Amino acid sequence: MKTKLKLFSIILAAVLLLGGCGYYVEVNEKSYVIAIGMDKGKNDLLRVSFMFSEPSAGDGETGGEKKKEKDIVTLEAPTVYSAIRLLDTFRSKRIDVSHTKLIVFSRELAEEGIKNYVTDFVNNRSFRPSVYLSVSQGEAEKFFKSIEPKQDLYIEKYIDRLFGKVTNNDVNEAYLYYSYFNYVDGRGGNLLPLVGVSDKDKMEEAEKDYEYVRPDDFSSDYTADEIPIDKKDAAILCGYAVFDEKKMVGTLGLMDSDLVRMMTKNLPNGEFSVYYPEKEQYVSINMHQVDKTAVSIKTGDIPEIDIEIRLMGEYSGFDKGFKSKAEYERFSGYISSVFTEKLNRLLKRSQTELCTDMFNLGDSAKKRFLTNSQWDAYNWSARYPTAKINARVIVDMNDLGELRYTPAGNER
Amino acid sequence: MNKRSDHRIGVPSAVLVFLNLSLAKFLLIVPSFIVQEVGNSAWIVILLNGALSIGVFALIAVLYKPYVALGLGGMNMCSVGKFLGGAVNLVLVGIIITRGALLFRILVDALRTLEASDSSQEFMALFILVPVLVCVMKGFNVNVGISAIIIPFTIISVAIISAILMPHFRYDNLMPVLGEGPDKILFTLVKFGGFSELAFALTFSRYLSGYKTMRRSGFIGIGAITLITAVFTLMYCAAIPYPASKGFVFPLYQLSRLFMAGSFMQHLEPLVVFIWAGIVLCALATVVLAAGELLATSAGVKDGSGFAPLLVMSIFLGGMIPRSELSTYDAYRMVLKFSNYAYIVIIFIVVLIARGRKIENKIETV
Repeated sequence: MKTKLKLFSIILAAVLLLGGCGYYVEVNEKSYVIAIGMDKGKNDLLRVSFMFSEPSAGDGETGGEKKKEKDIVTLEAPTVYSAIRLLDTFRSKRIDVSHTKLIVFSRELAEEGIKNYVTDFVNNRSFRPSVYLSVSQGEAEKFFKSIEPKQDLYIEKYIDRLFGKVTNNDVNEAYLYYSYFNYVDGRGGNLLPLVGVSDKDKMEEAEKDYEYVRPDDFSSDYTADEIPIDKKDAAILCGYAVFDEKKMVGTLGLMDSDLVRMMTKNLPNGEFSVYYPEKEQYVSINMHQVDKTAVSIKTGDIPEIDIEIRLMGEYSGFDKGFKSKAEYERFSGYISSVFTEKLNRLLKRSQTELCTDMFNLGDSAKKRFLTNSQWDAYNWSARYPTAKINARVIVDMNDLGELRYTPAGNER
Repeated sequence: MNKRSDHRIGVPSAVLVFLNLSLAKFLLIVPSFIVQEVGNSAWIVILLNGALSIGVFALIAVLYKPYVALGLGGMNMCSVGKFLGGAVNLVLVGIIITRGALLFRILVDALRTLEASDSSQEFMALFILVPVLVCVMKGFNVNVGISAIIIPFTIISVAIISAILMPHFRYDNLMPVLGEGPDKILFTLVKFGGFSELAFALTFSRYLSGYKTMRRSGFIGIGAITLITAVFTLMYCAAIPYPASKGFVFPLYQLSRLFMAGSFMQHLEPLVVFIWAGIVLCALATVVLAAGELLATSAGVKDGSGFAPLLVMSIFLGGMIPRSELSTYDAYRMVLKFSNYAYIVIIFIVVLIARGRKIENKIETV
């Protein structure tokens, strides 16, 4: 009986595992869409650009894999799916969107709202939930044409690596599903990566200076397509597009992006340059985030929000040193004040100019309510712009055993 | 039902039979019904349901104690007479088969929609019902043996999926803790509550080694299914925020879609299809065995395997009645709502009549 049972179980498992091959399609019989760009077309149509990747074997001569040329097709259609239908009329291979990595909306389209497009993509199971969403400063088609990966063999790998850097947190609105979740929740606040095309001419007229100059200086920040850079692959990812419940309401620059990452505990370990007036020079600080951002909220008529971010910092490239412990502590305090000031300014901007809770601080407030109806009645999105926010960034500078100052006050 | 032997089943096997009957509906669709009603507090409904079921089962177990050796069908026949008892058994068979048929149709539609849209319904039906028929014809012990492979596999797979998806769980998604409110929680508990499958499982009580086995396996079964489904629903609510979670029909499938580990590991869906196929196969085989057992008792025959083709065909035909996926979900929701109570109420009435007429004394005399 036991033998029969074992045999039966094996056969049963085999029946379940060995699916038929009746409807198979070979990999090279498909045309894989890697990225979709959406611009406003003429007469209320969409201008949809498709970037393709064709699986290829080695070229036979070098023994390695052959780099594929870009294949971009742009056409106008009422919807993305009608555009895919049109593609089928002139491409011999079957269109497959299941490997799509990136969907780029033009700023013009994003400012009208992308909720319906996002919902359309979510409802189609062919699109993976982890597709990156992004907003292009100019036309999405122009951005696609500007992509010329130098360090990656394939464009799909390039997209994965480039966007992976800003979304190295699993729960991120830049992913199709999480963006959709926010829309359905009706809370808005989506932050989508901003892409653009660099312009070589900007090298000549560069005025901005990406540095944390002074706590009260906010002029120096770049968004995508403002960075003065001279490179052949002109595609750039920099900053974020901010959305409210319906549409895009503004952009965040490179420095703001650092603050966004601090708020979401996603700050990469890296160098930050801060101008230190006391020494009249730039100081490079290597900073990383250890603890999660602490948020506490009092939900009265006017919400009171208290935010504390703790960073670990280590300065480098500072040739004048500190003469005393007091001087060293003054420097730490100064660094903390720079970031605190910047963060408070960004939060103020989210309340006044952008009018959206882009850091989803409401999630912390929800815990104070028992039911969804009580939470809805509190109307967080209406109260957020009036909330009193007190944010602090505390940078703990550490010595790691290196002598930064002398107790006697002598120079190092 | 068929191939009866003197070998009695113990607590682990009895728990497997109960899990067979309950796990399929919970891993397939029921959490989404509950989320649609109460939002992010669906897991609380499951926990309350478990507590309620333990109470109901404790009461049934005490009343049913003298009839463990008869089985549910036998008790019905003895307590209200052969004609009426046969009619009661037929009603119970109708309820079980209707639920099985709708579960079968949900699986067919899910497999076709998600993985094999080019396949016909008939092919999918054949793919599911032939193994069910073979399993039933091989007998109760084979069914238990297959469950002993599939149920642990299912539980381990769901645990692995949960562990992988840990970074996607957000505590904030579970807030506010009472979701749509305590009134909705109680209303939903009344609507979808009750593990009536435990009552189905009483059909097999005469295979158990005694009253203590029935009692222990019942409590362990309810505890296990409550724990598994509460954790699973909690995961779903923590990973997919309400109200977005309301829009998805298959929670396990949506959870598996969140999985991503580099370019080459992004598809857990085939594992989900395997889990669904396995647990629904076990569930349908147990449903057919239970229905066959009731029919065999009513007809006064020893072996109910002769009813198996008829019952499997009924599941197929019943499953094909709804015109669309949506009407299947509506029908299943409605059947769950009424059958949970109908089954329990019928059993309560019959067992109370049996106790009133003191049929246990007559059985002992016979």
